[in-house]
Amino acid sequence: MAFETVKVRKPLLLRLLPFLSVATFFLVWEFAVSPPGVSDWRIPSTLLTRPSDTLLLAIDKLTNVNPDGATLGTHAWVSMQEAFTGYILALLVGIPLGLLMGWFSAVRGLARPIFELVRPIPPIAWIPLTIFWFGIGLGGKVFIIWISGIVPCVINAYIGVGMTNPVHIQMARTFGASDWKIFTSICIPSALPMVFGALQIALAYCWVTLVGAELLASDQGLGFLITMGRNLGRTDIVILGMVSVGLAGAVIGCIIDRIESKLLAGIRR
Amino acid sequence: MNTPTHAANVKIACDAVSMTFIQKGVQRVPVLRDVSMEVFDQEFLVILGPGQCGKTTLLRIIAGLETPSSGEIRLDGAPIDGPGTDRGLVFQSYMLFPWKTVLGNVTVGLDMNPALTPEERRVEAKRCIDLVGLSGFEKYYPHQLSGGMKQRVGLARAFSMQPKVMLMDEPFGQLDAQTRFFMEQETERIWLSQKRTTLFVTNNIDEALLLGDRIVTMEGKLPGQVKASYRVDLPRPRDPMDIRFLQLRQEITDAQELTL
Repeated sequence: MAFETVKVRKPLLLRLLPFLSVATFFLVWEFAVSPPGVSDWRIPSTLLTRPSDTLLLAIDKLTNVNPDGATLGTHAWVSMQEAFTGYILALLVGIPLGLLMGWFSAVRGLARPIFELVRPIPPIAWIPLTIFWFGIGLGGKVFIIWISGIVPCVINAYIGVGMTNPVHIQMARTFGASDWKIFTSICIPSALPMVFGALQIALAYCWVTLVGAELLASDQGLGFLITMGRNLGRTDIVILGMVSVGLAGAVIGCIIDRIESKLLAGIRR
Repeated sequence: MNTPTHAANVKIACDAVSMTFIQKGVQRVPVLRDVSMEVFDQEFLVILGPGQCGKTTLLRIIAGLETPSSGEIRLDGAPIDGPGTDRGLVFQSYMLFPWKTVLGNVTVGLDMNPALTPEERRVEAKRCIDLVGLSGFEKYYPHQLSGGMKQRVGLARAFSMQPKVMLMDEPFGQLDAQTRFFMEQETERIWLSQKRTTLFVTNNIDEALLLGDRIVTMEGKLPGQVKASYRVDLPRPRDPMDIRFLQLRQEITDAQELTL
């Protein structure tokens, strides 16, 4: 006996819808700024630029360091480095901490009060201190990103462990499992869907905080590109920065989605 | 009461077990009162009672998942103190790990035993999977299985620990009538092949009569108390249309205030 695996494809229209919606969005934007057939009027470029101009600028900025001091690739690379260093450090500390807090009441008792005190402070509020401590280089931003990313990691891992089915734990006890064994073989897998949720949420937090941090204290990065655009009165640079931040965030989100669905094959049904 | 009395054959002895749950810190809910009964070696004992009569609580106390307020339960003469591998538990709600395959679920208990090599674990798990008729499904995940198949996995997992007794808590309560009947026949087949002492809790009188060597009925209201014990001296496999089957069914039904 065995079951067959059948792949069901969605109808063509449904598969095209996402592309249609994006294309429509940019077309409407393009024609709203400079309506076709109207040659003597357009929204001034100091207010809003056309997507096509932004695209041209993006291509130009791939090699041109002017007027903001670095190519688009460098900006993106610097931002990625900062975001991912902070993000990965947040995962490495936050998820184990949350998991342990969920299962061991001693860890919970020790870590919870401090966590609850630090949590309500907006990550951006750390910027002045981090400038004193780390200057405007990589370290300070990594620290702020770490602070913002660790919160959802701890909370989700903690709640995830709490959602472990108590009967699963009882059953493991009837098999003579130790506390640690129950933690590793039952609580952690049970918490995984929540932990993967945390990967997404933390990334969003990190990415948002990154741009915030770069707006205030940096000399490179996509957030810095936006600031420079503002200082120079160039909406196209501002929008290029914004779109780059959005695109990069979406791509990373997609990648994490893929990994998640692979790893959770047995849990999601 | 018609029970064998030689104490040497007693496998599980419940001695004046009472249980009171405290709800919200104040309200006391008596669930079991002075329950005394025995399960004999190699016996298939069915505890029959309607919902909310404390039968599941009794099973959970025997499993070691609850501590009785008073009284004692002994397995092979030794008082029960917490859960242990000598009692195999089958839950009504299957309780499989959704992230593990059939093989992984059956191996869960064996994995807790450091004395076994991975190969021994695999062989033993395979033996239990064969026993419950799930060969070929080792690599499937629970969500790919039907209710009956899930409960087979639950059975195999309980068997894998080679428990002294099997404790089954309305294991087929979630199955449709046809699958349920089929699983009852399977349970009988497996029990006949192993003669492992089994304590089976159900609210279904036909299930009780099909499977039990003996049926202990419980009062239909809290606190749960043992009402009567019936010996089912019918040849296996039993025929639900057999006149003695129906007579005994009538006798038990008449004695219960709630229709079973």
